[in-house]
Amino acid sequence: MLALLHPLGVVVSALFVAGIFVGADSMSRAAEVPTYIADILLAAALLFMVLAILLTRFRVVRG
Amino acid sequence: MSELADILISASFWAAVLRIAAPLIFATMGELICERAGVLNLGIEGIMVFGAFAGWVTVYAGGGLWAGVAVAMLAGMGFGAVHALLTVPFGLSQHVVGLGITMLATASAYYAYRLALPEVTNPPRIEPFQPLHIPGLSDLPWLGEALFSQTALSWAGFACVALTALVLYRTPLGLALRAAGENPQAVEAQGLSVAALRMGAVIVGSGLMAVGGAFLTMSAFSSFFFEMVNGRGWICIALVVFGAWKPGKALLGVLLFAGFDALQVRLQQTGLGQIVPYQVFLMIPYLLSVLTLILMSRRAEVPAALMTPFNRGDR
Repeated sequence: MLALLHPLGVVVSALFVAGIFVGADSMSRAAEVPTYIADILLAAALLFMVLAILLTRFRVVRG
Repeated sequence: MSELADILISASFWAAVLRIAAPLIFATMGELICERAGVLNLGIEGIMVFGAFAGWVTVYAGGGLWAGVAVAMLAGMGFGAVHALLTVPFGLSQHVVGLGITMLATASAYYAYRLALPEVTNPPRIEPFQPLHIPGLSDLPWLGEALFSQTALSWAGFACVALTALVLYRTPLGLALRAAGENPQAVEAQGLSVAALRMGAVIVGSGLMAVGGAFLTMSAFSSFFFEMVNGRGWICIALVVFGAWKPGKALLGVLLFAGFDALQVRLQQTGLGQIVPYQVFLMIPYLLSVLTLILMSRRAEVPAALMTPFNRGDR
């Protein structure tokens, strides 16, 4: 979903998700934030992505 | 085979069936209300987890048990409001929004739990609901233990089924809600707002699902741990289909699934449990539920406008 169903986009979004999860692990060591922040971020990203797809369907019409 | 008969005759088995069924009843009724209005609510699993956490943490922080139930219901309604907002006015894909809500609610519950209790390995216990003692009926020799040793929240679950059936089939609101799921154009022609009906249904349904989750922490187990809901939310979606979107038949489906679940736990302790790996027993309730779904719900009628976003003015 994050990649808008494009194969290369899937690779990039996988790297993004991996970055979030690894970052959450090191954040839990450094700042004592629970690792589940990564899952929250991911779910929020998914929901906002779906919303964004809707918003891109609107086009500003001149005149 | 005689061990099977022994299990079926024991009163504790039937008490376990009712105990396992109670959270599923709330969640199934919640999902039924959502689907009857035309919205598939896949956030059920996450909302149950968050309801379990919200109810538990309220009691842990010193609130009463029913206050915990109320907080869980409000939390569920909150997530339901997000789901409803994204699904009904914006018309986004109900599958994706539902799964996103599940992920969000589950992650929020675990995150909040870890924030509240950072270094706990043994989940702390709260004082759960006690079995409700009914003066005459609870003292009957076999029936007393089997049927009448449930907590107040279990009885609320059964009352919820009756209330759902009553509202859906005997009130104008229920009629409008059912029509919103079957033929939203007709509702719009009457001047009622399909969006308001659907959003209200999703919010109320999500509140019920959260109460189902809260049952797990406040009545069945008395602490919150990870993987607590363990797929119960997903099976409720199948149970709604099994019940052909009718509350009474859905209750039957829930009791059947709970019966299989209680049976497999006890079967693990019989002679068969020494030979067969326990994972096979864990599969049994789901396999039998799929089988009964195939056999008994072939002619279930889907609400015609399920999962179709409604835009005002559509023909």
